[in-house]
Amino acid sequence: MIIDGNQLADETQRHYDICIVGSGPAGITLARQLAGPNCRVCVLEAGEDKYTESSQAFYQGDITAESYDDLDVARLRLFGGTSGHWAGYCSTLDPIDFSERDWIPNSGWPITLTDLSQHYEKARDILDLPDERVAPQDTLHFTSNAVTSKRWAFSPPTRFADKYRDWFASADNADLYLNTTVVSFKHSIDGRRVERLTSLNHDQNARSFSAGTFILACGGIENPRLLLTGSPVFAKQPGGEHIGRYFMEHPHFLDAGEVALKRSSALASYERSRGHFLHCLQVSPEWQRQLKLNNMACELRALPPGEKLPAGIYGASGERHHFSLVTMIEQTPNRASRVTLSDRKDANGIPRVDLQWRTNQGDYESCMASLKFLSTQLGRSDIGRLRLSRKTIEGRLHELKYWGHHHMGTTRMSSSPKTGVTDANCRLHGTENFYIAGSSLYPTVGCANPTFTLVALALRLADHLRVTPSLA
Amino acid sequence: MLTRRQWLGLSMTGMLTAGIAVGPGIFRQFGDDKPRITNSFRDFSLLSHDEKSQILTRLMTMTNQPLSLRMEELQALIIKDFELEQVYLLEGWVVAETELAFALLEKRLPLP
Repeated sequence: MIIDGNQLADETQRHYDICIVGSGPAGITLARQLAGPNCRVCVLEAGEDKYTESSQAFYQGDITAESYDDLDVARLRLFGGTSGHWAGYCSTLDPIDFSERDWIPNSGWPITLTDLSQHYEKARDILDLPDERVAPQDTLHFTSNAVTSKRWAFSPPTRFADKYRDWFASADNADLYLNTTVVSFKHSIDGRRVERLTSLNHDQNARSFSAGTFILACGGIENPRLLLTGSPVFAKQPGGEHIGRYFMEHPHFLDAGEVALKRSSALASYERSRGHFLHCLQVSPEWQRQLKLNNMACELRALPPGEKLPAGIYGASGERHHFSLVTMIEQTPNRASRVTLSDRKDANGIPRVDLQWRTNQGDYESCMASLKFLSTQLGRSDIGRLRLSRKTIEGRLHELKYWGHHHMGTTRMSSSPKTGVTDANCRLHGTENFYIAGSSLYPTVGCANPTFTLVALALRLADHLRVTPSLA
Repeated sequence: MLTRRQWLGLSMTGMLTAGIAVGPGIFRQFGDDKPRITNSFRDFSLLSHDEKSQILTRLMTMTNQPLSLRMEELQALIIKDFELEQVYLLEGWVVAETELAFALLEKRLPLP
């Protein structure tokens, strides 16, 4: 059933087995997996069914460190969440992304890629990904294992509201509440359980929801905001000091360089326009270890015929195929990069967000080293040549920085509350019934767009909850 | 060291069409006992005259080898240069030392 919180006259407390806050890809995936005859689920969405300026205005916030897009354009506050404007890039994290790497401080997940593999498979259907069996093989043939080809598949992209609106409308055991903004949580006396939460509708009428299990699935910025504003208990619990910290993005560089390739036949799997898949260049995990590099992926985007190779470069005569490099790098976790609270408040009187995004000089140096390495490998394999842009050469990559609206790391998963906010099962350290879903869980972010992994993690969390004593 | 006439008279195309010889012994001749430009990844424009001269001298030595140069052999030499990490920036392009030498010739850069 879909219920408009603005029309909800009944003020009695509502009870569900599971209460999910947020109706983005993670929240909807969890609801569909968990709702059933023995499990009543509610999903609380602060926004409306469609985009409205008044709802979106709640997402305004401050940006007080490195520049970023306004926070009310970097995400969506409506049914379906940010799936309403995502681009559909899907690739798994790499095995190395999960490992603890001594050259990347605060790296290491409490799970491995193997723990997510089956969930990635299942997530393919949810995200309407093309059949992997028809995916093209890599067509750039490097003569060594120094460079690998990382493959993306494209979702149409799936708009979760459009895809699952009818399901919610007819579901017997899942209720979607729109215009229902969660503002506070009530803990048990010992602080180990969340017993209920309070929400406000457009007219600031309060409603109360109790549940056996709560899941916060509001994205990498709202998840920490709600933990910091919803109850003073969260920040005092084990791991609470990390809430909002380690905010990460995927720094993008749209003009770090260009590539001239010798053979057009080599490009087939690197041109998105030719299919539902895309290959990107990546320094192999072995060489990432050897050279102590962060992960990075380079997408090749076709350029119109333009400047020729300088005279004298071997093979400069004849047709060349020019591409710009769109580079996406892994940001090193940085405790000082954080989501915290602004002095300003929204229309409900809740503090807005203050985003303090801080990248690291080492990230840019790693990117530069990776580009140099790719350059020499292109030459060794006689595939083509790479040209670095002037700003890249001059060590001013940071001036080319853009981003992907990927908000990650702010409730990081960890094996210990000393290093993170949730445990390996996404449960808040120190609580018994409060879980987190979404990209805020990522301790490190690799070079894969976050949606595929966050849906896989939601599926894994659903499997875990099905066998917990309260639900099994 | 190259004379000014040599600087101005050479070009890659000219060498290739004239069948100027290049052989595989170049890398032995320019082993560790010879001065090499080891600052990899340097911008071409930052090279000193002496460094340019060293690169060109190397190329000239290549041309004195007895074997005829074929494109495949030249290609192999360039790839070998990448393996030696002797890479430079030429107008931003990451190139091998061999390519840089040819580029110097192609541009017919005058000696100071």
